[in-house]
Amino acid sequence: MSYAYLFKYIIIGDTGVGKSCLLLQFTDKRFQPIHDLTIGVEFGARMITIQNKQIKLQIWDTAGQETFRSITRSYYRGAAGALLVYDITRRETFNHLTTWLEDARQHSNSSMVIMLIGNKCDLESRREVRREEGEAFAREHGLIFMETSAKTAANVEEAFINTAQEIYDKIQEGVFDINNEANGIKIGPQLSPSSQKSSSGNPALGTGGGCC
Amino acid sequence: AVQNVASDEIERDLHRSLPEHPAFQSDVGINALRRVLKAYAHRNPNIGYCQAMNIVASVFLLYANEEDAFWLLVALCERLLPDYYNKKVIGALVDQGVLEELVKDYLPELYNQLLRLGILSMISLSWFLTIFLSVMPFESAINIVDYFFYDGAKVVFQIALRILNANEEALMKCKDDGEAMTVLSGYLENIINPEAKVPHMVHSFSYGTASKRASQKMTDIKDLINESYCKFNFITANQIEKLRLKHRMKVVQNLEENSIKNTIRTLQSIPIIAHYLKYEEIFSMYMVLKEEQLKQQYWGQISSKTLLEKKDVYSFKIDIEQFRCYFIQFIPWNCDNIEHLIGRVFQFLDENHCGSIGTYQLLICMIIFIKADVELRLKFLYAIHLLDIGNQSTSNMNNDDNIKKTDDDKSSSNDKVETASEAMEFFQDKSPEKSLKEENLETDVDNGQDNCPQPKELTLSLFLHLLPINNKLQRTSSITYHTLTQQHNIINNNNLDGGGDEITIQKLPNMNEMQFIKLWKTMYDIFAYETNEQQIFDCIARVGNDLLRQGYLTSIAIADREKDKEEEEKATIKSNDSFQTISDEDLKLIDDLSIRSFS
Repeated sequence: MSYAYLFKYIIIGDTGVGKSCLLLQFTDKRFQPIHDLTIGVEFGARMITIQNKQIKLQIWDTAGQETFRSITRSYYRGAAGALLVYDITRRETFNHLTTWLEDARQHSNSSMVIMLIGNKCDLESRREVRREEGEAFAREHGLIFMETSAKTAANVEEAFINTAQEIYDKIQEGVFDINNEANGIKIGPQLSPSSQKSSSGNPALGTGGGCC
Repeated sequence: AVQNVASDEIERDLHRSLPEHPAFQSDVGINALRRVLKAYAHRNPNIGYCQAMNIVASVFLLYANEEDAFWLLVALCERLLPDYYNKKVIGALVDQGVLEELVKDYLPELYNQLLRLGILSMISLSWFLTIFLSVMPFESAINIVDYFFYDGAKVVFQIALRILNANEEALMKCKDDGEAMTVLSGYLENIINPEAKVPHMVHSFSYGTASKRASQKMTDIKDLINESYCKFNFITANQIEKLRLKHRMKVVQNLEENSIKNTIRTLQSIPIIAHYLKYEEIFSMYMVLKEEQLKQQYWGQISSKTLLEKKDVYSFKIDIEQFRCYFIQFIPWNCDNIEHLIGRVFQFLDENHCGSIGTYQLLICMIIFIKADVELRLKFLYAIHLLDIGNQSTSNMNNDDNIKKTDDDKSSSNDKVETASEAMEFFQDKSPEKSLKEENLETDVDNGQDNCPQPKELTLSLFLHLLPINNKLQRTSSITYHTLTQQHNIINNNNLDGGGDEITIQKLPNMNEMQFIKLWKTMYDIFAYETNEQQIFDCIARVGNDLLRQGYLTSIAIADREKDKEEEEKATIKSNDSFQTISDEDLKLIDDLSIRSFS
């Protein structure tokens, strides 16, 4: 399948907050109440469309346990977007956000877009972290914020797509160096090299494609 | 506490261990698994619980009773897959390195491709940690587990090589890591076991598409195992042991390097450290500390194994004895009565009163005594003399007194205003432009005050918080902070404009007479062995006298209503600054000395 851009994502957050379920909901549109845990790293991909451009999202889903932290760190480097997930029914997963964020900021490229996600918002009765707290944290640290439910699929599409939109906008603004693959962005076959050169940092982007 | 963390984690993973198998969809299976994992965490707290152990343990439980399953787990964690499930899965990382080397030797073309894609380390971790149980259909993976128990770890390597080998053609065509991951996961999910008596179970998280699965060609697990023995049987346990030794060094070294980098980055995120120290300087400090620590561990009882588990420099604990050794080496003065100073400094640094300080505190202390300018050094000396060693309770009482007085004083007397304004003149000219930026800080401290009626003891973090560096202000600013409001009656309220709106608040608490005298004594001690000792002593004495007199006068001025302390403290604050203006030169002399004596 041909695409204009490929964005690499990484999903991070404490163990059991629903990282893999979010990914499964996004790639396969299903929810798996009983499921295996993630060892090391797993991988998923899906095509989306932003402003008539086909964009392939390549998503790395990481293990949340502290033990795997040093391994997870090596995945930040090549990511253009990160979903930082906590569980609204478990306060401690919210409290650990600072550590995760520190880790992400230290090991990623500086323009990586980070989306903060409060997952399991279907479990309103067991809520321990108020929505406002998530919003405040996101505001304070310059993140995008959303509450999602991998179970009901609420906001799941939006979370992934809004992140992509943000990355896309940043490309338009010339913030991302798209010629450096270490930034987690790859130009697809839809954009020929010549058109890509003229378009980096230029709003009139992607003259080469859109319908392959 | 360790036990608790382990059991929390176990609890969370019980329903994520072989969840497709009916045995673990009821309490019987779940409870058995809980008991086995908890028993193991209890047996070996060094490992406790590591994800992936739940998966292998649940498989053992399917084929053995609880006790046998437990002993199988013991054998696996402690003998067959050594160090796999410790805090940093070192064993598994080592085996990844071993596999990498085997691929390089036996599948060289593929090796180059995998290197380009950068995926070897991504794919194999779960292969090792779960003996393929988490990547293949269960009924196929158990055959590998069988062979593993029969033939040892070499089986895992053989199979891994064969999997890569079987997909060589497809992998060579891959353009990026994502494609390669898809190729391999597609292959692994389609390894079937036609003879299986257990139901076919597909892993729930096979992302993406039934279509991919349908188009894939099936592989019989028997064929895979057969071929792995045909092609890669030459790998011996002996060879693997040798390679493991070799790679273990690399892995440990790598982890160590990363941990150093992380620590230094964390340290660098602290403003005062970032301001005064370069990366290299922090690095060499770290090395010095580490060497010390290693020496101690060598002579002490701590085994080298726990050393590996040591997280980072943050966990270095420096007690007062060690601190003494460092301090004597870096202190720039030939200080008299040094034990007293050491005690004070250490107590101030040891914020949590746990009898030891960390690298962070030591670094701060070194910065202050070696790198920082005279003003910061004076502030620090001032701050440590606010501590009342040994009689904390009295100091609190004093503070209570002060607060009450402050409250009584709100409608402040004119005398007081005048004296105060005199004392504060020094601060006034420097500050107006800062007041806005500091508002955040102000409110922070205020909140603290509101919550507890007693003023906070000046701690190291509070002290650092008050430093202008933290607020990205210029270093040259004074020790006082101003704010616009009347509502901030924290420590005292001095109306500078004589009825105007602006109230100056001095954030470093004031000092009482006793504290001041002690501070002055330290001053004498510090300069005890200087060449121009007499001259400096004269200066100190003169300034000290002036300040005491001023403090005394101001206290008399309001003696009809008050006792004395508050005003005295105000005067003392000034003392600090006047001292600075008078003896700056002297101190600069000493600065030179300090630079020389460190090195």
